[in-house]
Amino acid sequence: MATLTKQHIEFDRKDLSNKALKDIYLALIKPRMIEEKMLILLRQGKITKWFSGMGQEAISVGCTLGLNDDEYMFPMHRNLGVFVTRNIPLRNLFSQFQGKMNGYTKGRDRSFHFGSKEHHVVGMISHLGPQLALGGGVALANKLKGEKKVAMAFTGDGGASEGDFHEALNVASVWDLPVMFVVENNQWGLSTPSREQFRCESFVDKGIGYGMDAFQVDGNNILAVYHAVKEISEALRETPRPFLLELMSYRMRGHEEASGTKYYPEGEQDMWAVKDPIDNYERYLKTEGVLTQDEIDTIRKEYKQHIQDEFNIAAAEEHVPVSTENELSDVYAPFNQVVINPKTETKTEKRFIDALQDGLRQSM
Amino acid sequence: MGQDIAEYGGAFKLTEGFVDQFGKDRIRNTPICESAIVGAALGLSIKGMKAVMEMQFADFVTVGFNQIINNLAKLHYRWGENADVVIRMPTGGGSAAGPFHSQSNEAWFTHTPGLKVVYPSSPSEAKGLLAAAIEDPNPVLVFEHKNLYRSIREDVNDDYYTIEIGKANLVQTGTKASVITYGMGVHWAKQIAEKHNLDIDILDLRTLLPLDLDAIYETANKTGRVCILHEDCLTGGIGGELSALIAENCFENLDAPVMREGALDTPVPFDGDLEINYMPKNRFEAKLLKLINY
Repeated sequence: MATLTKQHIEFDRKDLSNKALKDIYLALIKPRMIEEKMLILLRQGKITKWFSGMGQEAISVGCTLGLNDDEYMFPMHRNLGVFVTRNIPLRNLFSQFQGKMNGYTKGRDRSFHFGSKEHHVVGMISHLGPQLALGGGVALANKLKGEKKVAMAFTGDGGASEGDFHEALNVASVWDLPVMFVVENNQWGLSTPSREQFRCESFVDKGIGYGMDAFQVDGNNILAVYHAVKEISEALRETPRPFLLELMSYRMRGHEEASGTKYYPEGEQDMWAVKDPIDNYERYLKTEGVLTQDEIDTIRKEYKQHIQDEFNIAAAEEHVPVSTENELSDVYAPFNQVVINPKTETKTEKRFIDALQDGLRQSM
Repeated sequence: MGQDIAEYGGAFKLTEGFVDQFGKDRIRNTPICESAIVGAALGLSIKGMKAVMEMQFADFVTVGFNQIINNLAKLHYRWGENADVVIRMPTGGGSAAGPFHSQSNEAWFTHTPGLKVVYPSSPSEAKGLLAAAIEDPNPVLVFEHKNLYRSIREDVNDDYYTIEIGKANLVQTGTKASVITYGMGVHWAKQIAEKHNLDIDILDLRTLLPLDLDAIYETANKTGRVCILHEDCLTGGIGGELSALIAENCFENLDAPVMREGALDTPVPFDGDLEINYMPKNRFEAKLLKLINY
């Protein structure tokens, strides 16, 4: 927690009350504190991998707060703040990270590679593009069902190079799907800087290519992100169509903890450190008289304890018992097919294609 | 969903009339974005809706491959959510359509746990298996041999019905040998059997994943002589898997090595004569006779 000598991010509260500002702070601080814990655990060898989103919390938290709780989100590996803001219990999250039974994947997949329909979050697979199309599919379902909801899918400045990015945006645009595509531009894809990833100036420029509205926001400004998502999603619910939202930030700690940041140019991290989303917001809240330093200290202390308590629960869990039978039986969704016989004996001569057509039509 | 499936009725006219009957919301013409459409189908499934996607040709599945292999197939195993998606695959050669409109690629999918693969050989089974695939909440690939679309006909019940997925069918019974096959192979086997008046079992797998192991072992144990036939090229086709299963589980009842025939290990050629040579029918005929006389 750095002490800033001046405000490096300007906040506009618009008509948010002090309580609302405080609630936003409570949400923003959580993923930061969890990450601080994760880094310690990594050094102690208690978890094996961590992809840090430190410095990017305003994106995950601001986006989640800007949507309604029953709207589907498709986060990626640096969007811890999405899971936390949607109130996924930490003990389950930690269990998931450790591959234990009270996680979401029975030890079968790691980190954020899971979903929870209860929380309307569908996590990722390791490939960086596919979930964008899933976001479109959920938006399509919402539209077909007449539900005024948006969906939101994340990718990064690196992930957006995937062909899946192009396809998902194209389909969403052609079909006017109410989905927000968030490009979390933290300027690095593993060791590859943006200038080796793409040649356009900004992802906003891609909007024209897809016939889609696009907008860029300072991703380190929690209120700017929150207001943007709130306003855009309200518009999309009224008039279903997709939207490309570019959120600018910086990846403070490198791709994953193991790979380090030796390749970062001198001074780049320092330049962004003063734009830390939490340091700047804390300073702003103190200036506005919303919170005092003592109150901030208390909030942090209490949440730190909560993290510890939840982690202890997960750490005490046994590993998933090994059972070949369980593994094999979960490959398919359970379905005991009961063969349906035709009601009558009426037959007509059909070609192969006619029969297929029949089967499809009668299944509709 | 699929390319040209709405007003146009689909490349093979399978969905002709559907958009008039069911409306544009449900019969959706798509841009040429196979990956995004498979993804959209999965998104629909997450919201509790069933989706059927038509790959214009099975050959184009490669551009939606990742979504199928890494999203559809692995979803339930990973976090208990199901992918209620059917992908229809107009497949197979024999019409001089060249390497990209004639492929048999079912083996990629039988090799992927989490998927189901059905491959009917007759009109009545095509109807029942497609209906069953749609009913099943798991991801199912339905292979439809396009050369069978308009070339075979039979009396098919008019009502809605399903056929059991995972159950093979003995198309004909005999004692001298077993031919295990599917799709176009069933027709080739029947033709060869009739031509030489062969007293053989012909087992139509109908479902390639999950396999009906009981039916496979039963016929192998009964006749002791097995030839597996598929239009897919020989190396890496499902025939290898079946052969290994039979060799390991039916060894003591076998009177001959388990034999297989498939297409040549080349891409599917365009020229008609080249394509006939590529196909396994003639090599199968020779091999089956060799097997029976072993």
